[in-house]
Amino acid sequence: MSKGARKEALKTEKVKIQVKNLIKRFGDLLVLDKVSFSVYENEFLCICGPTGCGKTTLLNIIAGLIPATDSAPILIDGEPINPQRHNISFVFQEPSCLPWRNVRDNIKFGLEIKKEVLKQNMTENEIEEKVSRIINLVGLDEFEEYYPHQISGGMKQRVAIAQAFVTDPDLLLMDEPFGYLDVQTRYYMEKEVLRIWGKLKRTVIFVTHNIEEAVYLAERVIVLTELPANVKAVIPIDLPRPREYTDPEFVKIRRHITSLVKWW
Amino acid sequence: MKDVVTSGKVLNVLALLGFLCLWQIVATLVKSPFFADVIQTAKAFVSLAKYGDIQGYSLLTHIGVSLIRVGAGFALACLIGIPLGLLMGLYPLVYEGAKSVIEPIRFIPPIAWIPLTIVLLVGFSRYAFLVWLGAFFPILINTFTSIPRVNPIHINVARVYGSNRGYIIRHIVIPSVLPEVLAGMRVGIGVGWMCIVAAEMIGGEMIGLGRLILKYAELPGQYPGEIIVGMILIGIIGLVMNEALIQIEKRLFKWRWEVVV
Repeated sequence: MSKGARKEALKTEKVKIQVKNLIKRFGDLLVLDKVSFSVYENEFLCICGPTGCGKTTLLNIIAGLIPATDSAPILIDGEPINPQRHNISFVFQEPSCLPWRNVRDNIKFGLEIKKEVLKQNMTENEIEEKVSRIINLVGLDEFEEYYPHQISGGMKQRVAIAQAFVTDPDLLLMDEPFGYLDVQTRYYMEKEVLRIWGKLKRTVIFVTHNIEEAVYLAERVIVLTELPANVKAVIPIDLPRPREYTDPEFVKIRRHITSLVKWW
Repeated sequence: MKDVVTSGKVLNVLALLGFLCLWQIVATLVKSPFFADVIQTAKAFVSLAKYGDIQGYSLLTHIGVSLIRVGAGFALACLIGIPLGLLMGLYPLVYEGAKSVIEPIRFIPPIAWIPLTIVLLVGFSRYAFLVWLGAFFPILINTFTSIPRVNPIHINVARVYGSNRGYIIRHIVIPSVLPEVLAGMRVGIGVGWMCIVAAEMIGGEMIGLGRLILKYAELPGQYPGEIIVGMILIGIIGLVMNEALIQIEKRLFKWRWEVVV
């Protein structure tokens, strides 16, 4: 897609998620100070910011894991977000596989909750089919029966990503999911997640402190200030894919974001 | 790894032989009619196995009866200890509120309960109660203390997908704590089994491994070998039960690196 076309597309895209005037305090510490931003449908949005600026807190609030101190309702398709009503998925930085379930049953976990707790209309067969398809898509076919302790850290994150995508989430939150991986595995996983996202087209909010990663992945990057965090800049990344880390345009954007994030 | 297992076996045979030698030497030095040596004990075992005890009860009867008594006490300890442990772990107020009752009772040895047990209970319930006392606390405490160690990330994964508390307890908390619960059960059955002598001291019946020892202890100097046979049997059966539970743990928790022994 050309630069101009991409910008044109943004204008017409539908707002999927809306965060407005979000405030979070931990005791006397003001962490998030009136954070506002929107995410478009099927967009890959990265949130960058200095370490400890409240990025994880922000995701946890959007996911409903912790309450905001004060905020306009966080909207998803115009309705207040609710994990019981909307399909939300979360890929954590820490390995989150359940050690007593094998790869296949781990990937199935979210769907099981949707069926058993939220009574979503799915047959066993449909679930098995969806799971098989995603296992194939993330390339874990030969590891279905393996337990988490038998597979590598990169594979565990692939299981978490498969588990997150298989529920067809309205919103997929990723909190530095490759933070614990070594550099090569991280490059590989970045490519993989783009490939899967390209196929399944979901709305993604991806938090990272790694600016290169953000520029590689995102359609737009939101830069947060240091504490108390606020939106410092919103930067559309109009580079064609697949992107090259060494492309001068890439480097230019990376430098620009780095200068924004810099707090030293 | 294989080398460790093989050399382990060899060393164990040597250790066992060394122990028997030491026993024989001590027995020869002590030269007491109350202390049987290895040969006397072996003879006593053969006679017990062949003819039964002085009242004609066979060894298998003694073993079987003791196992049933311990089994009943242990089952009761699991039935009460596991749900109560879960409850105390999930609702910390239950434990905090009952601490002043639970904690002191935990440190009263089952033997100290004997006089009260005689007054309050009769027959089979006496055995079951004393074994229960021994087995209950390890099971309760292990279950209870394992709950705060459930990985919060696992709970958050379930919450994000829209799970409710009941589902999280069934599908995250219980599988997470199960290894600890089983470890507690293993300790519990060990302690419960060790209480069997105390329990059978006060039961009226003349059968049971504990009773077997007491029976011969009441005839001092005449059957020292039989007493040691009773002791050894209690030790070996305890070991077998422990090993059996370890095997169950390994099967059940094949998803873990290894079961900590």
